[in-house]
Amino acid sequence: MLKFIITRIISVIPILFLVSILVFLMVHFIPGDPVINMLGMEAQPEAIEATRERLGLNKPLHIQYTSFLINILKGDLGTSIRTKKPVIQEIKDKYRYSLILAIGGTLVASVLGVLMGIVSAIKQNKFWDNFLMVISLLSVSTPSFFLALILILIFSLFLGWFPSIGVYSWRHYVLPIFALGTQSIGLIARMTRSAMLDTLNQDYITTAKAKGAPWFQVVFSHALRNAMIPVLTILGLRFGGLLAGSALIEMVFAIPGIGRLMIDAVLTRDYPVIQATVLFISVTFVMINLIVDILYSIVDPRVKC
Amino acid sequence: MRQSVLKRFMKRKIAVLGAVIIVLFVFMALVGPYLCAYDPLDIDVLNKYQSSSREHLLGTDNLGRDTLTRLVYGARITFIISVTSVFIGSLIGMIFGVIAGYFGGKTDAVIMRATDVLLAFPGLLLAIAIVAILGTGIINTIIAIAIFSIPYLARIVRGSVLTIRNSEYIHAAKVIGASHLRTIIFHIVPNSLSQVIVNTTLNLGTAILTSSALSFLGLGVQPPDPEWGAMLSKAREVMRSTPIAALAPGIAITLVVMGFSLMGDGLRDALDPRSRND
Amino acid sequence: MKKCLLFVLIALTISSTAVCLAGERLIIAVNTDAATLDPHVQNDSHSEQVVAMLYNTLLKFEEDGTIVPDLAESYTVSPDKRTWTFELRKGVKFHNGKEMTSADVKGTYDRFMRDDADGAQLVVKEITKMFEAVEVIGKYKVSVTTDKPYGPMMPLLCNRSLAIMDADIIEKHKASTGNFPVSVVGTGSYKIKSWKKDEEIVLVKFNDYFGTPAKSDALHFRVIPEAASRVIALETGEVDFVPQFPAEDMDRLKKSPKVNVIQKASVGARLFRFGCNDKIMKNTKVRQAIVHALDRKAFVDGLFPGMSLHSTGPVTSVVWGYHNFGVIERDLAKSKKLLAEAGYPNGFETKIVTTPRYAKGVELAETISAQLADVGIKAKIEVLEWSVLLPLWKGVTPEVFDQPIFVMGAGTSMMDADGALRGLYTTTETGTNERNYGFYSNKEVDQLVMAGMSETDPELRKELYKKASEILYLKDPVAMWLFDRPTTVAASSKLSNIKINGIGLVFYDEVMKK
Repeated sequence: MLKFIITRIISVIPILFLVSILVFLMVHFIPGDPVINMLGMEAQPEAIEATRERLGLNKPLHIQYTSFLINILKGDLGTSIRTKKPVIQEIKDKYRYSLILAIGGTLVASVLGVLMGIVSAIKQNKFWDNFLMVISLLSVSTPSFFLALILILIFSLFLGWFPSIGVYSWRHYVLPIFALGTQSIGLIARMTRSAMLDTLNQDYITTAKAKGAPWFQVVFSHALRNAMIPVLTILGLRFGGLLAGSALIEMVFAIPGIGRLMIDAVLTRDYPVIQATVLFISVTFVMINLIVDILYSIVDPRVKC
Repeated sequence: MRQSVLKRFMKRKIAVLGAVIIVLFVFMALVGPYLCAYDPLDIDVLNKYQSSSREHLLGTDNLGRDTLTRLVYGARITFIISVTSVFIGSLIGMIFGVIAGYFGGKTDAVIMRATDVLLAFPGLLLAIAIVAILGTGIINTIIAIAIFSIPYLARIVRGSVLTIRNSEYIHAAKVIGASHLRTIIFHIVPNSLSQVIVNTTLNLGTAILTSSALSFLGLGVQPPDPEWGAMLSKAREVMRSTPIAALAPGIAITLVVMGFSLMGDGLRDALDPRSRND
Repeated sequence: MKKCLLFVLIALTISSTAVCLAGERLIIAVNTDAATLDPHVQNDSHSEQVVAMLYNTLLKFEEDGTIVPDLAESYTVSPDKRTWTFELRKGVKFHNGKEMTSADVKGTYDRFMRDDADGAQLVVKEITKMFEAVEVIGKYKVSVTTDKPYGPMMPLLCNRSLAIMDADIIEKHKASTGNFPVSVVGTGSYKIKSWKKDEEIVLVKFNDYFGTPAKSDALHFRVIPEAASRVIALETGEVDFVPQFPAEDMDRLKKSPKVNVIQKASVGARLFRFGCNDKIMKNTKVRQAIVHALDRKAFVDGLFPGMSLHSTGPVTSVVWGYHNFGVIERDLAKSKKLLAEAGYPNGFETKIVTTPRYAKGVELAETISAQLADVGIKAKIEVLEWSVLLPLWKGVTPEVFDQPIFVMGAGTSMMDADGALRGLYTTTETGTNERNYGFYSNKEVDQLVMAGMSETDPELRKELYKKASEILYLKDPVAMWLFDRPTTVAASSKLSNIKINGIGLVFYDEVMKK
């Protein structure tokens, strides 16, 4: 298993490498002078020259890339055009909010999704199964930003249970996390349901049942354990989606997260910030998938390369 | 064979429901504009944010434009963006997938690493990054979503090519002396087509979600064009006094996405009965 | 002296009772963060509002527009009307504990009178070009000399752009002054506590303030970009004050028992300017045709009902030098005739540049575009974010500037026609547009405005501005004025004593919370 973990970790390196190349090239794909893009239209000629020098833009591309990579590893992601502050500082403050949203969303989605999946599988083709599958279908189809608005309308405006903007206490996180996580509930519910159905029909479950084991023991200790594997995979894959999708939720709930930072940066053509946010989110995503894969191998020892 | 696919599809009531939703919306997109009494760009500011009335069934928007009319024209934009982008993306993805699966070895490794990298940018992020480079607008939205659907298709098609590559009749085709291209076009592609159709249908839903999300963020279709996500974004400010302005486009997106999702599931069951979940 | 002592006693009693009542914090939901807290650099109402809480000027506007001493206790004017001598208030403390003296006034004013100006983009430079010298006469005595007599000197000194800063802080932080809390040091009733960019600025009560102590212990300027979210937050009690809200919420908020809507006439107007460097727009008749093609009811009654007033001239009614020229009515026949005379009987294609930063910036452009279509002008719309738009405006040459019609918010922080007209509409000498973004140039306007600047007789000055305004508004239009914008704020009904002046600045330090 250790060998698997190590190979898996090593396999991530080329991906990270390629991701950084793409992010590096981003600024070069944009029409216009990359230095003007990096510094903004207001830049003074001296500053332009200095940046050109610092980034080594007169040098060949691969040397530029090397210094870009070294700067990243040193924690230097450049300076924001809009705020004139180091990008790393901007991101550090905001990353936390998005991470909380994405983790919270994943938790909500997995708890509710798995529960719904289990109930559906046990009550296969009965009313509850059909009902829950309709709910999960709705959850997959409703755009998160639309759901967010509906949640605000109901729970903030009419009922007044939760605040609608910002992140000043735990109550502020309830609606955004729910709005973000809901879209994954349906996926996970369906995944759990079919995985549960598969295992419930396996011989050893039938045997366990025949031996007179209580049903909840059968369901939770035998079936669920096996059903967890595909669910875990989906969770890992969805996490990145949630992290990127939190931009929409942050917009609606006025949360100053990395997603909103990215959108603002795109709208204001703040390229150093765009590069950094894209890099941060994708690297987080790759790392989370790595962790999930490793967990996967612990949950299911059969997985080995 | 073909008839039995249709039969199996028709037997799934919920899948048929999905198909009906989609057909209705396509009909709306094609014929609707000729039935509308208003122009989607006609401004009548003094009658902005009206609630539902006989003149304006779904009320009016921030500039007094008829919401129903904009919804109908918006269906066009939605389908143009999603169908074009998914078609282009799927085609490119398919080509790469077939090449990777058929030739294997280094070609396969290179293509798969490339898809790995694209997949390392989760969901919306890739689309946003592409828009950041290209700029906003309908065409750029299409390109962004097309690129976004390439890696999924490439992987799926590669997988199905791998399973049939070693089958006897492909060997037979090679033995007869069929060229690579001939083998791919006449033997491999048709066999992975069912997978492609299913995933393309499901991708259409994702494409609509993504394009409306981009427009919602102000990065997609620009004003005054009526795009559902953009309409919803604008109507937020009157969510309370005129909720219909936001509900109408929101429900439209949800319905179409649901329609494609139901249809995709139905197609999967109909084309490949073994993969049924229950 | 006795009087003074009595006053101090009263002030002390008031302040001690206020302390008992206070302990509250005021949360203000703003739509965008302050760009900078450097008074000399700030150029937008959001920054100006926060700056107003942190810094003081030599003189200041009361709520009704009268001018009273602030950091200056008294002043005298020399017979040639060029030199103003100020007796400064004694014992005024900066937030860092240092005493404010004439050296700080000199240090502050010298900063924008120098040519190099330590690398910061000092907006204040544009309005203080007539300043010639600042001299320290005593520890608490300082004089300011202008090159010619300057008519509106007193309102100019009330402008927050001329706020007095700690000279040592300017020296130390130079161009980065006002960008982070330690470099924000004023004499105001509040001092800065923290500043999370794009999230929140927190100000706390400054206990050594020389004037009436602030009523609330803290001010939170919380950034909530979504207009709808700001209103919701007010209704749910999450915030206390919303300086800007959508017109759509007006009726509901007015009816709500939890909210009070307060309105006050202001210097602000919304207009779309012409880029006179454009080969079509440089034609006076084209501009007149456009001005007459607009139906302003769409803006006043349609887009901003209850929040706007019809414009009746290039400055609003609260600006000194205002004259009522009436509302320009839509006259399509006249407009078409003018277009034909200009050589465009079938109209032409052009572009409208706008920004979502201004309330309904995009809707305004869409409406103008639709209305211009009625006389055959096809205008496409380009939407740019503020930070993208700004560098395209500032200090560019006519060759670069490509905005035939562009959105603008006009107003003057000195409430005088000189501030409203000179920088924005007179011909520039440097070849770039400076603040005359649209490269408007009319010799007559230049002469009239320059004469108004040094004229000290109020009646004669008014006459000069009336003539200049008529040209700008009707004869050779510099812009299409859409509507005047009275300041309209929504506040929790728990708040009382809300004062707003004509510039739109809210006196948050005087607001009381139940």
